[in-house]
Amino acid sequence: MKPLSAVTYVRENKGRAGIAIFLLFLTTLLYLAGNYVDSIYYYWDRAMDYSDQLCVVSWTSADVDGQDFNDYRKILEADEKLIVQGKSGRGYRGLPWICTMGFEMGSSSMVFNSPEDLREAFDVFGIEADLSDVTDQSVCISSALAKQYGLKKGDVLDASVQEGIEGSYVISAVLEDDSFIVFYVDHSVAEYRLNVLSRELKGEELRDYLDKLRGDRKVHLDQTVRSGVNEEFEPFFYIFGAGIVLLSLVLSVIVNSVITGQYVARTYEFGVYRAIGISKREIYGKCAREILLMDLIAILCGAVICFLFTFLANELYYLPAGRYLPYGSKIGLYGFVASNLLVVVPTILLKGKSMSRADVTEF
Amino acid sequence: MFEVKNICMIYDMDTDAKTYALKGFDLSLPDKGLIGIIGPSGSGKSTLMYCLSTLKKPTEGSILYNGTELAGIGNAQRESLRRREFGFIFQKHYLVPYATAMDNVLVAAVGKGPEVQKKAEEFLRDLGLSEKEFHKKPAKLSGGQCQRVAIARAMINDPKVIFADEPTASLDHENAFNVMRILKKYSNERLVLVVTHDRSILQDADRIIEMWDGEISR
Repeated sequence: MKPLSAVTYVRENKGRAGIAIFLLFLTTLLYLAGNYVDSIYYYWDRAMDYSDQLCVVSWTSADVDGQDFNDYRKILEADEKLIVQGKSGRGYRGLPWICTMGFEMGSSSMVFNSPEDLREAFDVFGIEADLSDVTDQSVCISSALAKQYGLKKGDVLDASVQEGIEGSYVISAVLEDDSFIVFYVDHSVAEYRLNVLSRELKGEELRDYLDKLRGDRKVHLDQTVRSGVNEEFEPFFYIFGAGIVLLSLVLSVIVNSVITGQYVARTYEFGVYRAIGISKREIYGKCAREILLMDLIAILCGAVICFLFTFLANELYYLPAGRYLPYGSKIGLYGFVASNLLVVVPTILLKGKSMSRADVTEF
Repeated sequence: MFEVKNICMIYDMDTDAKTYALKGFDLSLPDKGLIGIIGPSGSGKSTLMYCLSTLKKPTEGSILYNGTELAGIGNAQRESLRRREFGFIFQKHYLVPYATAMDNVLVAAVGKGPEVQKKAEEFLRDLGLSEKEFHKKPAKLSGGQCQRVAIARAMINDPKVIFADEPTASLDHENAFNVMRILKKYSNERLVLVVTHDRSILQDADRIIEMWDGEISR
């Protein structure tokens, strides 16, 4: 046993260490909170991925005789990198859905002219599904969305399910993914609109490529759904960021005062260390090691608890309702790291400093 | 070993109510022997010990330790002196409550490994602790046993000087004399400075320095 080791302190002071570990564990809950906030993104992300690979090209009124559009169409059709489909004249909105956070969100949709176009698009998107029953006037939705509406393959999607849907569409496939995007097949050729897909290019890269091919032609290219969605989601992340800072500050003050109390009771211990010639650096190191070890235990416990909580929440509550709590997210990770650092770093600095100055002559 | 010249220690220097703990005196201490520093509370005996042991810097005057001016050395050297050449015994044992008797001794040890461990065991055994007690925490040991562990901690690096500040204050008579016997034995080869206000424990002292109001009275 090493007398100055952090393991010895934690093992021999389970009660004290347990309280500190519990408080440090609270920082890991911000990871869970981050995942919760990011769950909105989770559902949109795949829909955005799909829409990244498809750009709608439209005629503009400035192109009076449609010459620019027709020229551009020929260029696109001749390009081996691109797949060009005639776009359906119909446009439908997606189905609103209840997100994991409990409120209603909109979703996007794509409309194809024919089952063949849809199959080709799915092939580009990498969606694997049994599309043998896809016909005109049908729709494909994800299993999560189907669960939210209590729909299954063969059911009819019409105004009785969601207000505003014109006509009725048979659900021809339920996709095994979590995207909340609705794929309609509705034949109605629009003369001056095209779906342009690519296996090699996506997102802004695809748009830039199409823009280069467009040159001066008066043709409109749709922006990515991602750019619009990012703007809408930004406030969530700002709010979450502010929440993290606030919570971290509160936690930092609480943890610091609790640990301060624990260390004040040990001042004589550190005073004796100093008196017997243990260097300030070693004393600082002991404080840092103790706090870091307790933090490590807190993080490990937190990781297990967060995983178990997410698993149980999904299996028992979210998934049956067509919702999902992600196991990980960047924002959760950033939130946890920021909060943990805000709590741990000042605690180490303050305690290390005060304990390395403990003076046995003052007792 | 120590040459003290015109040592002066003033507390609360920045205020009007300055407290003169040491009022400027000279003192010379040998390389070995048991030296008692005696005096009532507030006489400056503990302050003198803190200054000699580098725990405090005197306001004025000089302390030469084996020819080295203690005021002129840096923190690292002070720490090294306290670690390698000085040993400390305090009024209360001040053992680490969550560490065993053995670990409380080893915490001060300069080296590591089985040799140091063996040395610590020998010290504890010589001081009257049984093997079973080596692995007990302070709360499971008597006051006398704790103070003996503190003595072993002070001796583990074979220091040239042991500073003992009221080492018997929290002990009964029997344990107090046991502790003084151990310190007397150690003083045959090294210097042991004992600060106390109990004259009875200094029967075997080689020299007694009496302090009064910040000065050496005898």
